Amino acid sequence: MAELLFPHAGYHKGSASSTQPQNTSPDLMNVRPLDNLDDRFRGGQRPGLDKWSSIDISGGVISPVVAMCTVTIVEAI
Amino acid sequence: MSLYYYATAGINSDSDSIRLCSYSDVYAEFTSILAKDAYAALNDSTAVCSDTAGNYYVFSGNQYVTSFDSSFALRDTWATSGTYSFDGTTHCNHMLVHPTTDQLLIITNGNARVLDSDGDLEFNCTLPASQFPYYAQTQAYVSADNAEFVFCCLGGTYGCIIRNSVTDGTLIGYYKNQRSNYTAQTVCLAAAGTHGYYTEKNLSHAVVLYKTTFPADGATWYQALGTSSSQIGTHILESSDATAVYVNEGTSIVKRSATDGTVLFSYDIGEYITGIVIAAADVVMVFCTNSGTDEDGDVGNVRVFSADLTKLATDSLGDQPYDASAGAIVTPISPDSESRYTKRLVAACQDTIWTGVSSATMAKLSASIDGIDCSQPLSLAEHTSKVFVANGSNKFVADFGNSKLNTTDLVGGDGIPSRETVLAGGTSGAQLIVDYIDASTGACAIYGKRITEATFSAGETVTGTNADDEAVSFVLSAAETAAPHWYAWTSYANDSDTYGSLPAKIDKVFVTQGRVGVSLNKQYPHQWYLSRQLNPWDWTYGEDDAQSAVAGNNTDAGEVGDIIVDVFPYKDAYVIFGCVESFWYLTGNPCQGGTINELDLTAGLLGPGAWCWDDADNLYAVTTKGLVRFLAGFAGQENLTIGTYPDLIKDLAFNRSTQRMTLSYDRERNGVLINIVTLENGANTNWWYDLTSKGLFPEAYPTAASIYCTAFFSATDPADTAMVLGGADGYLREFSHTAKSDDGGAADVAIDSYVSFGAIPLTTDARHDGTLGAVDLITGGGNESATAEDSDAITMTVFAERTSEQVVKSAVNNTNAKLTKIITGPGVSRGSVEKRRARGRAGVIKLRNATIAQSWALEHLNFNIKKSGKVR
Repeated sequence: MAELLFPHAGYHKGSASSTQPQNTSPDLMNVRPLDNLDDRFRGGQRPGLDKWSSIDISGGVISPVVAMCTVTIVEAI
Repeated sequence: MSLYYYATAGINSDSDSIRLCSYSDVYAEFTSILAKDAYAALNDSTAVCSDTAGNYYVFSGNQYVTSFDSSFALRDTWATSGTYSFDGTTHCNHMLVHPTTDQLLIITNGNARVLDSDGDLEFNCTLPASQFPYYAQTQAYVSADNAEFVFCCLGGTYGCIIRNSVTDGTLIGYYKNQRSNYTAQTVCLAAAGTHGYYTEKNLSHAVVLYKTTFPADGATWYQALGTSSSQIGTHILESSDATAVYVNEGTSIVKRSATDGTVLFSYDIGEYITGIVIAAADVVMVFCTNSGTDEDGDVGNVRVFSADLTKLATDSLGDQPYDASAGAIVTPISPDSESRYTKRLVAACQDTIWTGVSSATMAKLSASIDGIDCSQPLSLAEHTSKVFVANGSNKFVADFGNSKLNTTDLVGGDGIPSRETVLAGGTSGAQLIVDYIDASTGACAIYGKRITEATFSAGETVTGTNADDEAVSFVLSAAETAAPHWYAWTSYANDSDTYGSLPAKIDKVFVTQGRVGVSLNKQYPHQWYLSRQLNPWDWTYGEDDAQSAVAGNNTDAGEVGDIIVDVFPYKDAYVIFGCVESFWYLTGNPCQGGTINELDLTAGLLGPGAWCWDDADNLYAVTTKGLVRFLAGFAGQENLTIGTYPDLIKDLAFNRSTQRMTLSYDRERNGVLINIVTLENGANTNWWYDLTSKGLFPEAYPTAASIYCTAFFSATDPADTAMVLGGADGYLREFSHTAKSDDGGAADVAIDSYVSFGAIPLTTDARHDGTLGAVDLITGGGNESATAEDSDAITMTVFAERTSEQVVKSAVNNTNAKLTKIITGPGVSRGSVEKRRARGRAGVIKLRNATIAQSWALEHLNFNIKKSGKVR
């Protein structure tokens, strides 16, 4: 029996297919080494995208959020 | 003052321990400490009391008074014989400590002794013993003004009230009840010392409440305020306005008129009352030793009422103290938040700035509506609680820290407030340090940090002295307004003659060394500009000081030369110029010895935003050579993709005129997220570079969720702390630990996730094929009830071909699969071993799940290879 480990080293297209380096894959999508179900480095589907806020800041126009930053505000006297 | 209600302190004379008729924990502590062998003097103790310092005093049956501190350590023992007499009695009826003088009043059968705090006899109270012999059942009080010891003598055919001076024990007066078969219950003297209240109980246990103004000595109380068939009546308290009196009647507190005894209000506590306190003018607190269920169905032993006995609160006292003046349980001191700041997320969308301190509070900065043009390049940067907006010719400030003053009569010339002038309101006394003013005469808005709690009011005259020692004075046309504010970003006072000017069009703003920098000036794309240090309103370049504003062509550190794609600072050490074909960095103060150095002359930055920093000071950038890591301190660079994916840049075919690229360091998952979005349609290409495993992983998202920008937001609420992703559809998103699908805006979208293992050589014999089989796939999670951590099913497909390249192509294109099987999770499941075999010279095992609301993890994957027949 041979064991295959999740390709933690990710996508690799830099060598011949017959010498695909260990722990790499020629074909993968939407997977990460840190699985999202239990936060283990065993490989699995990537985390899903969820709304951070339910507020549509485009006002329903469906317009992209083009820039963001954070600002620190010192408490008022 | 905190009153510790240990209910009625008394003595269990059947044992040699002290018993506080109070809460079990106090009792347990007391008895455990005061073992009878340790303090034999406490034998047959008959009274206990405490002073305001928490010291305890115990009267023992052998005529000793023993004092303990609040930790029950022995303080003193005062022998009673010799120094003063307790009349040979072994019984103390009542003992108390005066709350202000610390005098100890000890009542025995026939005498009331007052000891000083050292245990020395001060005096005996003068008692009219001939008329009132029943001291054995006497309760004592200190009057509300602390001037009198008041004795309520109980029992016999009559009871009486005796008032004595706390100074020398002289008799002030006494009043009696001479009704046969009535028993004195309790007394309450009004604070004014003009009248009092008194209850008596007859043999049928009816309780009569009396009120009296003080008559001549020995006279009877005469005004009955009402009778209650309930027992008790041991607590009387006059209301704060003296028009009514609160008494306990059975399990109820009753408010009666102090004039005629009419019942005004009543409330059934559900338990016998042990104390009543008027904590404030309109607040009445009622205590019970035991918890009762009141008429509202609430359980507790402390209740707070308004003056009309409307219940305000029910609580359980436990052994917590009550602050009678505040009318509430004294809660443990809870330190105030150590946080003295808040974080806000600021986002630009649909030509408007949005901001909030949490995910639920994002709202428009109303003044900014339609103030920017989100169809044009736009960048934001924070500086001193303000966000500076560079959006071509739209240059604005979202000011979250300053207060704003308005005047219509600013005197121009020498009398304008300079930056950092301290202004003071003539009426309010408020003070403010000027940060920015938007005009040099006439109508003017003044923004600054208020440094007083007082705020400026409309119409008041504001004065100060500016940096040139000139007097500043103007009248406010409106009251101060609080942040946030939105205003045009100009030079100070909008005075370009004195303070220079910002470039006409800028797409980039950044902050370094306390300066606000701008770049991506379409007219001068190779140029960069920095404001005066700590002054984003001063753009006078080339002044003769190290803090001067500076532009990239007139300083020690000159212009870059190449076209700047993006400028980004790192801490205050460097400013990096990512150019079309080169990288440069500025180090040091550009006005004082700073230099611009080359970082890389062989590669350029692929697009604005195609860079990020990790937590180890390394810079990641997608360059024309690939994904490059510039090591901390520019100690070197390494191309992270040249070996694994040489064609990355070619395949990306990134077009900065039609696409946007964003790099973000995800500090939670320790990786670099690379997002490329096509501006026209939101199509996206994404990569995750995992810094832990050093691998590159492609990702695809729904078009609505395409990522245009990111920001790590350290929210006050940790639940809102996340790397926030600005979406194509106007929603802010995050990578979720629980989401198994992608939020696609209107609906969730399945994540098509897959990984191919291989190509796996199936034979080393040129003349024979091999077979791949016995694939044993174990998914993540347990075997029992499914939980959120359990893997869903995985579809396993096996490919086998004559060559490795061919089998990889088959796997990529999902063609010519030799066998497919769904492995149900979690863990080991029936059929997790595939017995069928695939024949060829090279194989691939591909795992996949594309089902909505499903996710998977791999625990274990085994297979075997066997030699097969000759190559046909």
